[in-house]
Amino acid sequence: MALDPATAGESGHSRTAARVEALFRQHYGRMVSMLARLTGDRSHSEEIASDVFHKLSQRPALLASGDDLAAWIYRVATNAGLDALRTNSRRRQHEEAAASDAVRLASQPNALDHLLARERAVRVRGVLESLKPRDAQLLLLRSSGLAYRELAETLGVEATSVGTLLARAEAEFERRYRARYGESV
Amino acid sequence: MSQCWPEGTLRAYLDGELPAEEMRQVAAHLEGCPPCGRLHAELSVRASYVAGLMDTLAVPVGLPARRRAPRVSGSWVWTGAAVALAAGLAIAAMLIPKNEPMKMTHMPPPAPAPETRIVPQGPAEIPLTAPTRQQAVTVARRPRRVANADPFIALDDEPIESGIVMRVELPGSTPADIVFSPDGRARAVRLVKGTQRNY
Repeated sequence: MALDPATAGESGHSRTAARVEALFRQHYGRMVSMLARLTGDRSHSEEIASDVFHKLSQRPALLASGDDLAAWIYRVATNAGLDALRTNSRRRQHEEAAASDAVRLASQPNALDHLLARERAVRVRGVLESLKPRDAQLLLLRSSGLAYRELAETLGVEATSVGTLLARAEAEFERRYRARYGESV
Repeated sequence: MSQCWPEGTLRAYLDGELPAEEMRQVAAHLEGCPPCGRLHAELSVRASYVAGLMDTLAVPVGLPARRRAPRVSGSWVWTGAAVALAAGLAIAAMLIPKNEPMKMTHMPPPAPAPETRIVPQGPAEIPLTAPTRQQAVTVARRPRRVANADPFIALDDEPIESGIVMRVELPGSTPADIVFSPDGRARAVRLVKGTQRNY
């Protein structure tokens, strides 16, 4: 039985829309969480994540394929988050300088702890920005609590490779962090 | 001694991410293999170090990590509130005659405006007959041009599209003109010199 082209097109459109919606429901929250850690700005992270799914909805060929698209959307999201981080690098430098000044001026124990943590977060983001996107993505997702199976899915690799990739990413992160900031944590 | 395990497997062992049988094999091997034991310890220390740093990035759910460009900082809110309160008291002092008890039904006429006053665009002349309370307030709030006055100093970066000017007395008996926007915020201020105090 031959399908009416208009009906077939409408059916295909609804299928791709349904797939985008399913991916959105499954990954949006986790993606925003990862991006918020990376950028330090939750509202901006929500904008980036929404943009990723909008881009996905504009790729009918990709959606029509049977590929697992989790790796694609997380790769796009991580790159967009790193771009945002680099775009705001000047602001981050100001924040780092301001945090250092504030630490010197702080007098209350709680305020000092807060400011130290803030300064450390700025440093960590700077080192993440310098890593390969996949290494940064792996560390961010792992710190968000994803299991190896989920990490393998979002990275598009075998689950048995995650341990190796994670060990290498951690070694590179530590090397770069210590090179920038010495033994201070 | 059993086989040595690759670094990736030892890292997965640290996270308990190996199948149960493999977990037992790695544990048994680590007890009898000092090189693997050292590598395991090294991976463990590094993982804790990195995890500790990564945890500093945690953002509380539902809370923005950074507030975007607040319109008015907290200190200016309180400053504006204090100035608004002072302005209200100043207006009340202007409306209540000093030597007579206040009568709600009959307001005494205000003092006539001085001849040197410059009000080219005033909405109405001050009536010579007894004004109502509303008229008195209008006169008190009318912005006036004062010769040789200091320029207003903006209290924020936003343009001032409309507002009213109130004269208040700051601590130390220093008179000042404050520009308030329709939402009640103090937007600009200027100090008034002694010769400009009464106009």
